[in-house]
Amino acid sequence: MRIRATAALIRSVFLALGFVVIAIFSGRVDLALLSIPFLVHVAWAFLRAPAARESQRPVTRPQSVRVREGNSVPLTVSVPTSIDAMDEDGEAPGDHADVPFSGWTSSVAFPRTVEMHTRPSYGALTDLVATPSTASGDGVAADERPSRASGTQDGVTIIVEPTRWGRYSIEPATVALSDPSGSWRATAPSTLVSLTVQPAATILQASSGVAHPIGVTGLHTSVARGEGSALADVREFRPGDRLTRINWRVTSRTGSLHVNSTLTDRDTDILIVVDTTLDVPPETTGDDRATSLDLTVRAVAAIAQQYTGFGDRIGLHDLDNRIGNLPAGTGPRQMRLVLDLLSRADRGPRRPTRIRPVTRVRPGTLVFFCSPLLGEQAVGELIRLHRLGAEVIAVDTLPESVGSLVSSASDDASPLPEAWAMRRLQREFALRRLESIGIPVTPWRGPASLAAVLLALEHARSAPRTRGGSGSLR
Amino acid sequence: MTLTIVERFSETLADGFERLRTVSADQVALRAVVGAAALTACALSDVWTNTLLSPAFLWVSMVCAVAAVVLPSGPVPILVFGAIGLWWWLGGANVALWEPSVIAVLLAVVHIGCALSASGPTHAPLTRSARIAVWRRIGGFAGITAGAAALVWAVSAIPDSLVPRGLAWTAAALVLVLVGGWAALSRTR
Repeated sequence: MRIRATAALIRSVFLALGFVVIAIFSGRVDLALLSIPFLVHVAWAFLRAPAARESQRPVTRPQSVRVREGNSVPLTVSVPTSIDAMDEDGEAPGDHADVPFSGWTSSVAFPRTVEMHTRPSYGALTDLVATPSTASGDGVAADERPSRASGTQDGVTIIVEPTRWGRYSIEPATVALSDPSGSWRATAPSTLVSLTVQPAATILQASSGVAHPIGVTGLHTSVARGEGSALADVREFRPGDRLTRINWRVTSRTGSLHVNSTLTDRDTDILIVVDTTLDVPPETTGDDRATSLDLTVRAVAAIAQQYTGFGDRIGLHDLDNRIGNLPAGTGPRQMRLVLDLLSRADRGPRRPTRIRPVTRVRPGTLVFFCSPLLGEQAVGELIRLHRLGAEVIAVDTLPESVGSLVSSASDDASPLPEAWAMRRLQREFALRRLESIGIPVTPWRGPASLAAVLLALEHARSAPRTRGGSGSLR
Repeated sequence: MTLTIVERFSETLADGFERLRTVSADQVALRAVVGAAALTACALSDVWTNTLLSPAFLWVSMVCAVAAVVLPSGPVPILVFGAIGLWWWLGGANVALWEPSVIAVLLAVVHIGCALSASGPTHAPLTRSARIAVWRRIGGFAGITAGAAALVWAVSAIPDSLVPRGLAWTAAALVLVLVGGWAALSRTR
């Protein structure tokens, strides 16, 4: 970070010289008076001149950060509080000189981007570089008040709020240090910041919906009697019953030994299939600009969050390769892996390719098929999974505004809204046929979207299982 | 070719409007003070100087003042000071010394205001401590300029019999200024 004289100082030197020379030669005191501001400025500048011309490069911290969608990140650009001593000819940095930038102003400006909101607005702030002994910025250190931007002796803090999930590379902020007289200035870029924003994993407002658990451990209650936690019945003691199961209240009331009978706790396999072959943008122009890929990612995060809580094995299969596949696993670690995978999803434009079908699915597996349901191949895969014996729920991730009659009725001369409206009508026909063969389709509109479908699946547990419809969409 | 020029002009215009839209309140206040001081200096120079070119100097210096408010970091401010200095050189003889002193204080405000507003991006707001420091520096600089002007005024009021004047005095002052200027320029490189 090289410290240089500003245009103001050079201006002062030339004007002071000019005014004084003319004043002396013409013998005019009034011109000598007009030279005073520039003479004073030159004197001030050289009294506060830095001892060396090179300082350390500013650094932005943290350099790599991972947050959940909706959270903000305080980025602190550390301004060097001292400068490295230099030789007279300005080479070979020597020992660290004890010349702090105390009293200088430091301006930090991040490049503006539509993907981030910043506080203060436009991602820039000018602060006074405080001495180590004095209070910082507005008197409070950044780590004590992370909710607002502030300056510290360590640097200037800008709050960054990413608008979407994903991986971002925040371009280096431009840092400018300026002395109190505005005569000396050092400008340098700070360091790059890598920001990973995991999609928000909302808690589904729904039951588990698992009708037929296929595992042997977990939190879903099965219809089979055995070791578990959910009370099924109180019955008379039989040889082989555990003594810890004796219900002493009922025993004392009836006079014969009674035990609690429970339903076994089971887990199941959850397969989340994501159709990322298309990323359909919404037709709205407001803040809510969630594309079909955004809705898919949020739905996957919420579903994974829900079922890792039940102890189920969760796997992820991508029909394209924007997100990638994840083998089935359980627990918080699996949840972290799912979120990491989602946050690394490729959001760039892609050419239509053949889908990668699910190679293996156990009968009884609960399959969430998150898709905008526009591609024939994806719909075909959905039906195939259903025929393989999986409990398939189609989660429709086409943005609500796409093809809606409101958007197509706009004054825009483009035929696109009308075309989308027709495409949506065609799709509605296909969705009705899916439902007729026993595949529930529910649009993703947030955490409550799956409530009705999952509740219906749970209620169907006691009902005789039927296979509705035999037709195919193709 | 024409289209490219039009496109470039449109981009420049759009960039200008965007900068204007995002300029921070602190910068607006700072530049308002700079503009007010510069325009006041122009108006007072028009009143206190006496030259046939006064109307021309008035317009030129006012246009330069407005340009300096918009672009305080470039070479534009020097045009304001140059125009006002030339104006006083041509028409400021035989004025009362308090008049150029007032102009000097106004020029001090313009000069330091331009220097400080150019030290940060236009869209960066100032923290409370930085804001206090900036206004204190402007006030202090104007105050020191006023004090120095009073000193020069006092020295010039000393009778000729008490202070040596003449060619030797002028030569000594000139040498002092040239050596000081050379030293200053060598350090700014």
